[in-house]
Amino acid sequence: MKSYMNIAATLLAGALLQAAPAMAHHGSNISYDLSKSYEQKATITQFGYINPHPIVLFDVKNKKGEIEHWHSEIVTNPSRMIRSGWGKIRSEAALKPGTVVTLTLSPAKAGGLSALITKIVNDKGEEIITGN
Amino acid sequence: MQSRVSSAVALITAVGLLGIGAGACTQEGKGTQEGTAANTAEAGKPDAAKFDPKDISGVWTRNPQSFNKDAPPCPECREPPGGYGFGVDVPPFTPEGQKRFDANITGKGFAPDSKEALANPQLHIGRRRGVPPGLANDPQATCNPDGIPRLLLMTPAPYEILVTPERVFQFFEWTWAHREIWTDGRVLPEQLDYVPRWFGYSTGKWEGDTFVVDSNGFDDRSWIDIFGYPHSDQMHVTERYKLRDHDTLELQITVTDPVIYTKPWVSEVKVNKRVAKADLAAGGWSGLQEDVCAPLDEVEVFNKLVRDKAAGLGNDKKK
Repeated sequence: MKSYMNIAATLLAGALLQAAPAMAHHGSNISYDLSKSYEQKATITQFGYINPHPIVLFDVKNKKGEIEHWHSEIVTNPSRMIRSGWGKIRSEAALKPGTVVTLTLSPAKAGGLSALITKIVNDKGEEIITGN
Repeated sequence: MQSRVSSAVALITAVGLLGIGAGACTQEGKGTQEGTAANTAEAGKPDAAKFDPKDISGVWTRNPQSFNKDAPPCPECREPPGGYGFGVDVPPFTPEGQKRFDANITGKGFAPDSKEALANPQLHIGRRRGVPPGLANDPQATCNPDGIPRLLLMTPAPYEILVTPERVFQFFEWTWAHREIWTDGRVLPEQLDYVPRWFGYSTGKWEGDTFVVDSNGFDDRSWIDIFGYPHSDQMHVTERYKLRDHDTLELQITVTDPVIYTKPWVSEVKVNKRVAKADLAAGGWSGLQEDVCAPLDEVEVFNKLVRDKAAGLGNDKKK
C-alpha cells in the first residue's frame, strides 16, 4: 500500500506540474510556498496595474493589534486580466486605497511581509480581479 | 478505513490525471510533425483537405482557453513536466558550455530541494535548479530582449505571423517585440560586420508544406529558454513550421552550436492554436496586448517592491 501511495504522490505531483505552465513565468512557484494558502482580511494601500504582474501593497492588523505593511503580487497579469474583463479602470476602482478585501495568500518562502495573491474577494463576497 | 477510501480516491484521481498527462507527453515529446499530421488525417475531418497549408498568417497561442473559455482543451499544447522550455532532451555540454550553463542562474523550474524536483530526478538539471527570481541573473528580469529562440517559447503569450511578399514578420505580445524573416532569396551573412543581434539574421523558404527558417548572427548574452541554457555567437537556429490543419500550427526548433553543445539540440514539437479575431477582443480593442517590459515598471517598481522582497531581500520581518 505504501508503494501505491508513493506512486499516487508522484502522479499528483505530475498533475500539478501540468498546471504549472499557467503560472506566472516570473517564477512564483519558487519564491512563494504554494502548498500554503490562507485567507487574510486586508486594507489596500497601493495598487499598480503593471507588467509583469500587478503589485498590491496592503495593511494587516496582527494579533497584537499592530499594523503590518505587506508587499505582494497578483498571480495573473494585465494581458490576461483584460481578457477576463478586468481592465485598468475597473481594477483600479475595485482596489482603491482604503478598500477592505479578503485575500487568499501564499507566503514567501523567505518569510517576512511578502506574499503571492491567488484570489481577491470584495466586501460583498464577490471574487474580483480574475484572469486565467 | 476512511483514510483508505480517501487514499483510493486520490489514487484513482491521480491515475486519471496521469492518463491525460501521459498522452500530452507522448505527443509532445515523441511525436514528429509527419506522425501527428498523419494521425489528424486519420481522424477524417471532412474539411481537413481544404485549408491552404501555407496560410500561416494569424495569431497563435499555446493556451487557447485563455482567449475562449469554450475552446477545446489542448493538452498537447502544453509542456512535459517542468514548464515551458526548449526541450527536455538536452545534449551533453562542451566544457565551455558547462561553464556558461553553470553561470546562468534561473528563477524558473523547480527548486533543487523541492518535492517536485525530488519526484522527477529524470529531468535535466536545468529544470531542477531554480532559485527565487530575486536571486537569479536572468537577463529578462531587467528587460533585456529574450531573443530567438527564447521568445518563441514564452507562451502562453500569443504571437502573430504576418506573411508579406518578401518578408515574414512575427509580432510577439510578450515584450511587444517583432522579428523579420527574409524570403527574397538572400543567404545568411557569412561574416558579421555589425553588432550581433538578439533576434539574429533570418531567412525563410518553403520546403513542401513546411516553412523553414534559418538564423545566425546571435548575441550570446540571451538564453535559449527560461531555464538558462546558454548559446554562443556561433549558434545556428532552424525552425520548421507546419500547419497540421487550418487552426493548428506545429513548430520544431533545432539549435546547432558546437561551442556549447556536443550535438544539435532538437526541441519537442510546439503545438500552437489559432486565435480568432473575436477572441482577441479585450477591453473594447481586438489584437495583441502591449505586454511590454518597461524598466520603469519591471525594474523600478515590480522588482524592488515585490520580486526582491519575495526572495527575502530587504523585506520587513513579522513582528
